[in-house]
Amino acid sequence: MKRFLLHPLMVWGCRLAVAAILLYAGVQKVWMPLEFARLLKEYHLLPDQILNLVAVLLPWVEIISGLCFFSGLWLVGAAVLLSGMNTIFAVAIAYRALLIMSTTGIGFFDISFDCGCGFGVVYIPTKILENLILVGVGLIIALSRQRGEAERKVK
Amino acid sequence: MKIFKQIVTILVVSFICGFGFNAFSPHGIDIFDNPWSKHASNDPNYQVEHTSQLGEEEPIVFVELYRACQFVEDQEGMILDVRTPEEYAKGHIPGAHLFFFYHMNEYYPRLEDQLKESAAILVYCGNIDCDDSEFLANELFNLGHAPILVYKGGFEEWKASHLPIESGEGETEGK
Repeated sequence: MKRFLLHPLMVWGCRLAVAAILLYAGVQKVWMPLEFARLLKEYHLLPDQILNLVAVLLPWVEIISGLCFFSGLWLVGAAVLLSGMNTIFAVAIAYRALLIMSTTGIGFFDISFDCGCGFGVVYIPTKILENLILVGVGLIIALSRQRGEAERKVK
Repeated sequence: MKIFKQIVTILVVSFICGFGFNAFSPHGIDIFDNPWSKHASNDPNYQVEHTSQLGEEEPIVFVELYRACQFVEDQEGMILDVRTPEEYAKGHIPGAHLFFFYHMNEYYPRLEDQLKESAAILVYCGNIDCDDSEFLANELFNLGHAPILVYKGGFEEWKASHLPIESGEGETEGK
């Protein structure tokens, strides 16, 4: 299993998929910072004073990370960043889902909203699962690169 | 340490790109001035500025009670109630369609054709502290619908003003 997950072809495929997702998500948001700020506001997690700042910078973190995944430059850092960001995103989405559940009484498996991820209105349980998969993919890419570097040093 | 350096480098490059792009982009925004917090009900100046008639320059307009009344009386377009189905069933503005914001995937396809044909859309939720009507207005605008009026006072203000209400679980038929 470990050999399969860390196989170069598997890692390369993951890198391209993650690069495509990050670039698409980032470019979607970079053209509509105000709209993205509004979506961030819905989470009730950030103070209003920094909503615009985050809305301007976060899409670029995604774009630059996407380019890193594509090119291989600063790959381990981008992979760790991907895992960290998606952990935060998953927690934030789950928190907002809980807020909606507590105020409206609807069930977790009935919730869908625009999470500000760049993909419009999405079904939330699936979105959280996607974020957790991206956390895992980030860790796999980071581990594979670290292992590759260690093997090269041994040789 | 190497990983940390890479992360910091990515963040620095991202910040430079972000600030640079925002400075020169036609969609650039004021980083320290968030209009969404001004929209949020407690800025009287904002509401006064935006209680005008429908205008092409303002695809989303914030309106007060009298303008909402006028919209309903003159049947200017579709009225959307973004509250829960239970709240809608207890009472809603006459002619309003149920459009529970957090089940947009369910309600939008059902009303899409009518929304396209509607000359204007009025959205409201529970009360002045509720942001869901504003959020739905933005979603609809992004989907190509305009003009949209957001009645911030919501159903509580409408009811407190002793204006007519409808009740029942069934959705109002389109005009």
